[in-house]
Amino acid sequence: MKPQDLRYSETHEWVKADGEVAILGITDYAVEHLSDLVFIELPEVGDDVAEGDAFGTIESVKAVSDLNSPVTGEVIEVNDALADELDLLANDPFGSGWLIKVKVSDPSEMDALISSTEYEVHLAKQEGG
Amino acid sequence: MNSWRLLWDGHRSPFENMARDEALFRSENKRPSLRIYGWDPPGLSLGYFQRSDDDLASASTITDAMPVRRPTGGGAILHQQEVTYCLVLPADHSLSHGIPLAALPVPESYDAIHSALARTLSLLDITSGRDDSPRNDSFFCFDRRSPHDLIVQGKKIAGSAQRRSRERILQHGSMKLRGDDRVSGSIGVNDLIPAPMTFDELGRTLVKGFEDEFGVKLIPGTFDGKEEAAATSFASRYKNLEWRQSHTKRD
Repeated sequence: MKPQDLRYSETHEWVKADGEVAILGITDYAVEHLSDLVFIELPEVGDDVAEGDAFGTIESVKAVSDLNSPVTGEVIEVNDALADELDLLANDPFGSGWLIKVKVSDPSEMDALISSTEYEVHLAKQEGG
Repeated sequence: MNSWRLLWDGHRSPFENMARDEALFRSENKRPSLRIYGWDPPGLSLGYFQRSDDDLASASTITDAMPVRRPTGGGAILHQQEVTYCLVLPADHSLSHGIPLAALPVPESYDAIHSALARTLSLLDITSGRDDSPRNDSFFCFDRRSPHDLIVQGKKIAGSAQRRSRERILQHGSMKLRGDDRVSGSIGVNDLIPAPMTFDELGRTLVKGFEDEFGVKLIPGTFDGKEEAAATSFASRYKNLEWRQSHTKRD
């Protein structure tokens, strides 16, 4: 079961809303599909992120993949621990493996995200081809 | 039969080569594209996250190839005596396997594309296998070992790397014409067949390998105007080996 207090995108990001602050991460499904994680590149505090745009990159064996933001806003905190310890993301993607915190400028963007149940259905469809 | 765009792109500088690959990756053109190219002058490409200080200094003692940083991960590659390919597909493309590439685990999608390289070798009666030795992280890609690399006689003959966005998947890689003594783990097609092949001959065989493997027809084409403009713009960025850091800091 995916955490029910989070909102999800069909491209495997999650968001935890806390007032005007959103915590962003990628799901366990995304982590498993990337396979062994090698490096991560995250934005700096003060950078702007935009809904749908890449805010960072992650290298796994054989691929560098964009990390995309489901919301628009300003980065107010970055999980710097990941730079030295990507196992946090590999082992606990919904907890200590969070990526960035964003002060959102358009909270209505959250409405486009889906619930944990809807995300599970999406995964089942995707796995079914 | 589906048709893909074939970009037979000649020999270009390391900066141009990486810029033209990225221009295809960022293109709005959704048609699958296969670019075939070589390197003049020879290039030493570094992985996106690869450090360039001590190891590069060490590498400079064995080659004066022009360094450039790739948009993809992995280890350093010495680009000479090889044919290089770059395949760019929409992320929802399913090749001939029925499942969108983006829905496959990364190593499986890599392997699915790499099967065209194995097919190419089989057209030359070269039997290749996948690498099952433990992964290592040597500076040079062709000294590295990871599953899905193509191995002949215990040496790596082809290796690739991917870049993924929401919209696109790029995979580019090298097939060696000759193994390089300076990189201990490499072997080339011409080390294995009686009559040596030219760049053009191996390139054409590679195209046929993609056509046969995926049941498509590759139709010769060119970069469109926007892609050419993007490539020109990106080339100036790639001239700075540390472009990734400058990009990250959003100067």
